[in-house]
Amino acid sequence: MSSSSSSSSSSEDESMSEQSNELGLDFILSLDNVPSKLPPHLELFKTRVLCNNDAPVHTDTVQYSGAYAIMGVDNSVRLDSFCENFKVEVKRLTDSDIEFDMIGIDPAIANAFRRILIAEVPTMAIERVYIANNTSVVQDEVLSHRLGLIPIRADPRLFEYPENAGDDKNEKNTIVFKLHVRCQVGQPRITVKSDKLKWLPNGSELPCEDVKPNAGSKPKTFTSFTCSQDSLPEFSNNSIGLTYSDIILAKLGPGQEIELEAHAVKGTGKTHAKWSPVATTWYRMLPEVVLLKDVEDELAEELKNKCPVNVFDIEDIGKGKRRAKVARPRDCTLCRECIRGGKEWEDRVSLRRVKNHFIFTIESTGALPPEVLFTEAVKILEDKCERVITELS
Amino acid sequence: MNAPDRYERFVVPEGTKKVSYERDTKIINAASFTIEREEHTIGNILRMQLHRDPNVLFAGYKLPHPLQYKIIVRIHTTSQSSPMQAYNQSINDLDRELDHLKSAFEAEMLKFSRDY
Repeated sequence: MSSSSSSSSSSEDESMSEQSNELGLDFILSLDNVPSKLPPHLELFKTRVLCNNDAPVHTDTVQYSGAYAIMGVDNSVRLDSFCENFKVEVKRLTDSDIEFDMIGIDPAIANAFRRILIAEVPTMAIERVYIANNTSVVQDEVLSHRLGLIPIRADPRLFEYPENAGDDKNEKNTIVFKLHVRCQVGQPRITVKSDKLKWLPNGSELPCEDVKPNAGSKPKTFTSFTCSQDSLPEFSNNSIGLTYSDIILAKLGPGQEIELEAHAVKGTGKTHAKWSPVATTWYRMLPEVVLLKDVEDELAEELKNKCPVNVFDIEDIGKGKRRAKVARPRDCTLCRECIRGGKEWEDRVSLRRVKNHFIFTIESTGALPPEVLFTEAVKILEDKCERVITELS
Repeated sequence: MNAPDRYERFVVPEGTKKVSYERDTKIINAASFTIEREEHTIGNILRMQLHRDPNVLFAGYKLPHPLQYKIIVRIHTTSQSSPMQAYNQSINDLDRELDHLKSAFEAEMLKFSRDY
């Protein structure tokens, strides 16, 4: 009897092992006592940064696909699941800045966009300054440096990169500005602002010193434009100028004069910060404020007063009782003021950050609108990916 | 001045391959990829994408030196895959993710401009 039952059980085991070999992971996951998802405490550690009074904990992003393999949970991310979970929500948009949420992405991608926006999206900036006359107190090189940092309102996508310094400066790769100001003798001091820089669509007007012009011929200048820039269709819609007209360049005393020509070319922030298209761009993880216990009456009032950015509100719950509620968690700066004042406050309020929810802010200098900057950054990252795969040999 | 030219950070020199591949002689299914003129921007997302692959046992990158403008990505896979396969797969996935991200952002911008 016992032998027959043992033989039948062994044959069952064999068939079961064959089945498990055939089905693999799917079979294991279908068993009753195998968890299909992480237990709540691990899920919390995986998806949230907990901001305790002393230090944030669980700050790392669990990316490795086999991180929870021992529990039978697959941590790998597939393309279809990424597409399902990813969301973008624009919260604020003005001429110069944008704030939007990216939900369901990794810190690595958010950081890549930040780095590209700061250093790799091209813009136009003044690179060469030809000074004909400068009798002001501002030295030539200081003035040139100040001119270089002025943001230029010109779409860099319409221009080409200058191949190298000795190349022809033509209408496709150079924008020329002229500055000629003089403070008359006996007049009060004048402030030279960026509105005095005038765009020269026909190119340079300064003659090259080293070339002697033939009699009657036009003197050779620093650029060789074949046509006027304002006659080109791409520039007729997008007029070239400066983003801000009130940037102070220098101050001139009586009898002082500045005469110069500035040539702007295309470049990236990697080469010099003057080519950075953003004033700054940053991201932060979405703050999450959770009340672990009901905070009522005087404690609710105390909690509301503790918060410097008014995250908490007080609601009436009847019978003369009032309770604190989290009204504006997005405004939380994680100053931790609400959890200071003893262990009891840490037990009442939990401050967290959502690991895959990024609040992204872009402040443009004005060359391109902020929403265009972001799409350009995505294109640049796509282009990088293309290059590192196609050029693999 | 002995500072290197700034363009050296992103211009691949003549005769240098953008990406080179070197198999590990001691570990099976392991290899190092040297990517010229790239840095953390691509290195970190490549590492992240490789970690998502169930066949990847190890993925990491390093910048050998701040003045050497290259990154070294090291990949070790299971016998079901190969480092080259994992590398190609991760970049293709990344490309498609970015494509989806861009279209999602553009759709949201359209919706936002309609609503406000």
